[in-house]
Amino acid sequence: MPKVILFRLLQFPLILAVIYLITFMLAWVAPGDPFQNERGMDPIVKRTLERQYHAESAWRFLGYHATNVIFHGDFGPSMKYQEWTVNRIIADALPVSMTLGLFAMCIAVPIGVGVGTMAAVRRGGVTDWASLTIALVGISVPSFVVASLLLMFAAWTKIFPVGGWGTFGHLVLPGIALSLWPMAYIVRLTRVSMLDTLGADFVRTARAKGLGRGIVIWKHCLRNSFLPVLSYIGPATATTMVGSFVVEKVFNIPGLGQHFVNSVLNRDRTLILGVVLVESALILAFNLLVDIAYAWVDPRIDVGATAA
Amino acid sequence: MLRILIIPLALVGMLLGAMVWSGGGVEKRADFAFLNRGDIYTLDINKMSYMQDFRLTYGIREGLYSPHHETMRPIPAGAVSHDLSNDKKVWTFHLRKEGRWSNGDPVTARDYVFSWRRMLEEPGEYTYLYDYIHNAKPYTQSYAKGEPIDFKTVGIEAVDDSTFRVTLDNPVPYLLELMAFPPFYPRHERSMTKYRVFVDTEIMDAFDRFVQAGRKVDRSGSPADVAKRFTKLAGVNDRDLDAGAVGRWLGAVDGGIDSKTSTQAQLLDALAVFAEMDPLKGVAASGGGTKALAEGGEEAAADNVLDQLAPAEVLRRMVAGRFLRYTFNKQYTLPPDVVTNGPFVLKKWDFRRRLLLEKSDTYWDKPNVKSNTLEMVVSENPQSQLLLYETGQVDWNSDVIGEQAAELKKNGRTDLRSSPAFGTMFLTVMCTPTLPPGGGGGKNPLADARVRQALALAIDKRFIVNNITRMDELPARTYLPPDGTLPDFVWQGGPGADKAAPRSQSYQFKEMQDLLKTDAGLTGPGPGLPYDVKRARELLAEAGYPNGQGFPNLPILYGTNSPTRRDICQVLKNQWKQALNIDVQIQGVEGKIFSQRVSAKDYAIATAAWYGDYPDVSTFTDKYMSTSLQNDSAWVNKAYDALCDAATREPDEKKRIDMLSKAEHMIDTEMPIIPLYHYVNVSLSKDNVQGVLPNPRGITIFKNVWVEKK
Repeated sequence: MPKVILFRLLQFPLILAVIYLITFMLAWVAPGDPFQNERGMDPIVKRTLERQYHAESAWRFLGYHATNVIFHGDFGPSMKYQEWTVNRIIADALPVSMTLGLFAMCIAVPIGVGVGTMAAVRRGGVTDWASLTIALVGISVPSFVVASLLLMFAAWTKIFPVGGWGTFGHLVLPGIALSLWPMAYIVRLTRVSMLDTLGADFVRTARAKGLGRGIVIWKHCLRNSFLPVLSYIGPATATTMVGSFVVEKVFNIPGLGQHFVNSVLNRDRTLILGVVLVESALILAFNLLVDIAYAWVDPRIDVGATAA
Repeated sequence: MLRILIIPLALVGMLLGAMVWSGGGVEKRADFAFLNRGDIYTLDINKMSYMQDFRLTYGIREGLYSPHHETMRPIPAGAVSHDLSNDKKVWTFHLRKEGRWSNGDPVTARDYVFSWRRMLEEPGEYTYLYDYIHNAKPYTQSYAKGEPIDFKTVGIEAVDDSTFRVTLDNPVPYLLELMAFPPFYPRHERSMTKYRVFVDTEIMDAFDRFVQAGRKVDRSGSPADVAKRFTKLAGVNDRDLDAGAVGRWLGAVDGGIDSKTSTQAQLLDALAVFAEMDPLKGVAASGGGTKALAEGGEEAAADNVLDQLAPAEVLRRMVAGRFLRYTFNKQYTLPPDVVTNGPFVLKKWDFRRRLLLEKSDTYWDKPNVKSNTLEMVVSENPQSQLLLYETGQVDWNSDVIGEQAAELKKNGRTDLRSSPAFGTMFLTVMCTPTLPPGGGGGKNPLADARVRQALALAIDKRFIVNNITRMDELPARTYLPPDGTLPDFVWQGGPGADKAAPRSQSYQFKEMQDLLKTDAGLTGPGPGLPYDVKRARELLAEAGYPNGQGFPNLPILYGTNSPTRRDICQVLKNQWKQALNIDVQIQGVEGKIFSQRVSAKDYAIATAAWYGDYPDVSTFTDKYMSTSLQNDSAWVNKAYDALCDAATREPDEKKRIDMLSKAEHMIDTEMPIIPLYHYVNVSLSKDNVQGVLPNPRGITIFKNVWVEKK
């Protein structure tokens, strides 16, 4: 097991390097100039800027930027917001998005698993229908609709602040908006795998031996049916943690999601590279964590075998 | 079973960790909180170009002059008075003796020279405004090539600490207006030196090494002994440095020279002493970085000659020409290090969250600063902007965008305030003989002025302002907006496209406003072209396209970041089809690509806008000179250029205005652009907010802003 983890960790830099190169290429060939505003630009002004960013040619930029990233972990200054370094922008925004994303997952996982399990146990009943509704709404209603509705709710009731960041109150509504999608997924996944497990022989045996229903579900079924959910939670946590453009925009949250979209619109090449690499690293890390958690939850799984 | 619980527990644990990391906490509400047009891009004066950046700069910095809070006319600020020479070319400013930086240092003429010189050495989008100053443009160009002319020949001079002299090539009657504009504000060099980034790193690294050696070296014994020890400490192995030169260098080191803290002038003196030791003898030219540059032929030719030279030679030229090559890490504008001279100081800047301004203790007019704290809240989503305003978290929303403004107006909101802006929305029309690939290629029908006039005559502009923008904008007959910024300007009524029509009178801005408010004013005589479909058809036929026959299907370009412009294009397509029986295809492209294609002149017809930077006609007319970088239409008219040039040299203000008025009239009738409507500035402010009434150029004098307690 430790060997496998070590092997995976050694792979990380290689994968990130490939991602870096592909992102760099896309960011460079995309039409549009990071330094161009609406007005025409004096060639001297443009050249001065390009010199400052070592962006006179693709190779020079790549060489300079990649060296700084590898040896100093420094992505350099943003090309659009020139006061701010990419590192500082990410260091400011990532914790905000992480807090929000993790909060959303803290809502989504228990409720999702709970509702999914209930739905499977009371199959065809009211709970099942309710779970189906949650899943349908969560998956099909776009988050900007949910977010906007919640924002109206906030403006109307005045219980929660209308966007912004700073207190726990600021976290609640965007957290709910962000949690619906993963929650819906988790409900469906739990329900299906729980139905499978409930029909399994060992469950019937356990019941036949006289164990109570609650104990069987809690002790024997849940753990088995949790595995597919777990493999979803890893990447889902990683993606919610790096922020959602829509929810952040509606609730005016200074998270990382806005930078994904804005950096591309601004052709802010250094920022694009920074946010893409950070998200990639997070997804890699969470996938690894999930694999480790797999072995932890279900000792039957040999992580070494799956990875090799 | 505990094992499963680990996972939610881990999630909660991480959540708590992230919450701690992300900080948070809520600050006390400022005396006055507002939403700016968008987030701040930069507060570095060199690089600044967005209205929101200028707006904030008016709060924290101050120039020689400053706009009056009501009239927007320049009033003395950093200066108390000025003298103007008889030929109106030499301006001598007398600085306010009690002017202080936020760290207590006095504001001196040298601070202006430093800041202005920076604008030339590290040019930005507004460096062109310095072209009026004697030798400023030659200096910028020669500096960029690595062979700067002597800065002493440039018309920027500190006569003494409180006298600042500017020498111009031609009289500039609106110079004081420029002095009130942020690109001409002073900066505090001392607080910025630690953010200085040198271009010639080899020279400056050696310089630092020699400074260190000079501090450490044992000074006992004869000068020759000291020089020997110094040579070793400085890392020079192959020769002995000249004892006399080393002695002078040690003197400079004792004087406290340091590449991190010394000013440009001090460094230049020290470099001269440094060079006497010939410290870089034998170090080869690196030039590695510039080889890549040489790939592009044109760029290589314009490239910096210093990059090809050995460091010793570069140093020699730097000392001889008295210049340094460096830039500033833009972080110098961030608190707590930033030092400013305005009514407020920047206390806190949370990227994409808020900026906190506090009344400056050292400001000369502190008793008249009406609020203690200001907060700029960042939100770029119109819906949450409105909610922030409605829930009282901000007192003022400086710029309400189109759709929302129209909606609020329909609801009869009394706190929605609008006023004419110093800006016009228009179509820019490609005037080259052949169309560029992005415009469809082939012969350009738009090169014929009659076609451009026909297109303009066929547009019902009233329909656009009534149905799309809906904020009572004035439909435009002319390029220059009649917003009142230029009370002396006269619009020439014209024969326009119809040569037979009688030449009508001239119009002042009030008459223009009245004219544009009525339908008769739009269809009848007046400056520019009216709405006249019949005449449009005739002109199109004259140009060789009777009833639109044979007219190519031209693309009309807009940026998809603006839904208003998309709707305008749709209306134009319909109107041109009905009036002229011609088809255009609407082409929406993403914002960055749009601005790139327009400035590369790769389109046929495109939506465009222009706001005046300073209150003078030339901010509009300069744009269409054939040499202008902003001439997106590629319109070349020798008579126009001649008029604008002559106006630049004309000392008599009345004659000058008259020339520019004729020039403006040429744009209105020859139509390198088709004006559609004049913008309005729209804002939301509570009734108890004082001092933020909208004005044509969107300037806010924060010194005069306060919220009345109810």
